[in-house]
Amino acid sequence: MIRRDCFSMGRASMLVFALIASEAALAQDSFRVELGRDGETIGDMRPVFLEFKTQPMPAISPVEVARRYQKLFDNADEPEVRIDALARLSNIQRLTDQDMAISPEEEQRIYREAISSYEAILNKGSFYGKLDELLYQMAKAQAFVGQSDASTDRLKQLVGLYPDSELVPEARFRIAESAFSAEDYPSAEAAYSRVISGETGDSLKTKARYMLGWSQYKQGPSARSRGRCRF
Amino acid sequence: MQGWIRDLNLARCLALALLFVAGPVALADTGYSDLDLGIARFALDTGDDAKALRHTRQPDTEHHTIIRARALLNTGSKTEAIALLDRLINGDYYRGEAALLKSGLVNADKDNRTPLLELASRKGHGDIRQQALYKLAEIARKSDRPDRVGQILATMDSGYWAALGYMNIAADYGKRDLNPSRALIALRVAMAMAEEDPVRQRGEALKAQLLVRAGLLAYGNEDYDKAISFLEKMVLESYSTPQGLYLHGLALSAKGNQRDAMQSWHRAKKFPLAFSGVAESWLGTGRGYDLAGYLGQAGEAYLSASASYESERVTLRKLADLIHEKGAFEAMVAGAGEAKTEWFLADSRTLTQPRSAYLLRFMEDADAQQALQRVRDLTNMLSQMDQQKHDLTVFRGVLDERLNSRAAATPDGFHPFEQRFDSTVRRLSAVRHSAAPGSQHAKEIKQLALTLSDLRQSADRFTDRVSNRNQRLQELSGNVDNALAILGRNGQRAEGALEKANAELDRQMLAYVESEAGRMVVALEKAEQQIAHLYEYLALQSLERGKP
Repeated sequence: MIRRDCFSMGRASMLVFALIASEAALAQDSFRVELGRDGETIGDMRPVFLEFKTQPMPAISPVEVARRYQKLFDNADEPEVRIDALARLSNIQRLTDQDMAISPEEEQRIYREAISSYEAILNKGSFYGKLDELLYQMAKAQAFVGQSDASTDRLKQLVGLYPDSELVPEARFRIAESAFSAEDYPSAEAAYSRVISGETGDSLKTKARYMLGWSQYKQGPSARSRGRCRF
Repeated sequence: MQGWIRDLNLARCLALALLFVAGPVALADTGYSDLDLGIARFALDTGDDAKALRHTRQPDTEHHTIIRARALLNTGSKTEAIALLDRLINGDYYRGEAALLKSGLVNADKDNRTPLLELASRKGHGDIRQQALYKLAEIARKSDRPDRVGQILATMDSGYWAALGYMNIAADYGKRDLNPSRALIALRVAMAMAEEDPVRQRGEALKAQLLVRAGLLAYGNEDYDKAISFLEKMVLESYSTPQGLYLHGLALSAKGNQRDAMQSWHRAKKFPLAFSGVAESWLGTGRGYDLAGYLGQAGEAYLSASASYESERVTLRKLADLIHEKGAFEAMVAGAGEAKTEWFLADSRTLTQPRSAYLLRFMEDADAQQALQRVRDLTNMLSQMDQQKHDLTVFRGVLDERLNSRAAATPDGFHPFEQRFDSTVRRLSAVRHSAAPGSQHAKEIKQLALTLSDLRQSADRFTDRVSNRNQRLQELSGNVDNALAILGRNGQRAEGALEKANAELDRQMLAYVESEAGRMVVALEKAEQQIAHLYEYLALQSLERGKP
């Protein structure tokens, strides 16, 4: 009797399982979700749910940004990251015109260290940014730490390699300034003349005209006659 | 101990002893040329060069010779190999293969290499011919003769080698041309060729690489649709997939489709950071949010990227510590379960487990493969030596046991048998007289007398044999001792070599792990850079808003 009860209960439970299984099978036929299957190629890949939500943004001060860039410059090993940080640091200084709490000594140190990063990039031979900007920044850093000749060489390289760069007029002007400082007045005159004849803003041309006059004056009477023609 | 030694079959032990003691000569041949050839081929194909050499000690056919030459090349015995290859080049059946193998030995000598490869391409068949043609095409390519390369490739059959040839020429076009058309055509041809590779997995892996190259080339030339169409054909589980997913995301992002781009980068992030394109995809996700205008999420994504790179640096540091502690082989290969029974899962695991992924990337370098192979071979060799030492020690125990039990079989113990024998002969002699001559009974007695006579002779010899037995057992025992001593010396040499090989593998692996850590540092700095850019943007926005 007990055995029969057990048997009948066993049959009943099997029946229930069978019913559940058949219902599940029917449900699968009507609606099937295949998790973890997304085809074989990138093109067949099924998209996943990615949330896009707008969040309130914190107010950031330029000083905080400058501090981050300086920290990045100091801690980074990658030359491209360092010079990008430096360029952006000087840019934010220029745009905000605020005191970024960087002492002149600190600035000197930064530019001195930056030169090695520029050299590392140039020696590597591959750079994904703009090379004219790289040369310009490098020349600027060299001028800042007193390496005037090296700075002028970089500017000449910039003018020679990238004559269409928008940085060329300023580079020519600085080359001319360098020649003037070295009392090489004929070269300075030629360089200022190139700035004046080139395409650039009036502000730079005005400065170049003024310095052209001085270059001619410094060369003596023979050049002064050329200067007179310009006035 | 004594009991089971007693149960051992002496004949089998003697065979074992002969195997070890008589040395390579006994191991060299089975006495059947075909069987030796089969064993040698199997040994060569399974990386057991020493066994292949043993079974081709007397190469009496060209087939034996080519197998021996290949085994010699694998073991670095170039001079001996060249002598055999020269014989085959002037032979009948393996001229192409021998010329191809010899060409590999004169890599630097282009003047000698080209005629050998030309011979291999003329006389060789199948893979040998294709390899020879590919190498000829490479010589022409490196000599800057693209027309000649084209001519050679045009004569090749579709398959792996032709695909490689077209891939290389595509790389040249890619570097030389401003317009990517020629390079892309060459890559398309290479893909078609790779599809014909009879080794399916190899062909698929090459095709995935070709698709990445094509995608990169198209992306570099700002043809984003073309790049996407190439990359979408890539299989989702291949060695190159993470790189393909990253490029796919970049191309989609360049088209302004940031959400789809992020799907690709999200998928790439599932792979270990060891793979190319994964670290970049973590940054890409932040960039995607940024370009889609969700700056808060962009910042969070960059911070996540930063955290994952930091975590990877910790993993790499732990890996380096493990290598210092256990050695590279134990830490990276045995520890990663490569040598265990789950080898069949290796393919799927390598794509998801960081340690396996780093091992795989490390093994891309030929020097790394060689260093790892050397350690593995020496480890196997030492393991075999241990087994041999164990077998010889067991046999030495059997011999000692036999020598000690010799007293039971001395001629003294033979006396009862002699007494019984003499008594039997006497009884037989008495019966012989009582039997009727010519009767069946007499015949049987005569036959019995003959048998007894033979037995007597045999028993007389047995005494001599038993007396020699001790001497023979002692000789064998001496041979086993010699073999054990030689094994001990070889074991020491192998251990010394293994130590050096392990040191070299450790050095290479540590250098690799260090370079990977450096890569993570660069990625970390780039993430920090992106966060700083975001901060800069927010600060400038605040300034703009503050302006009157």
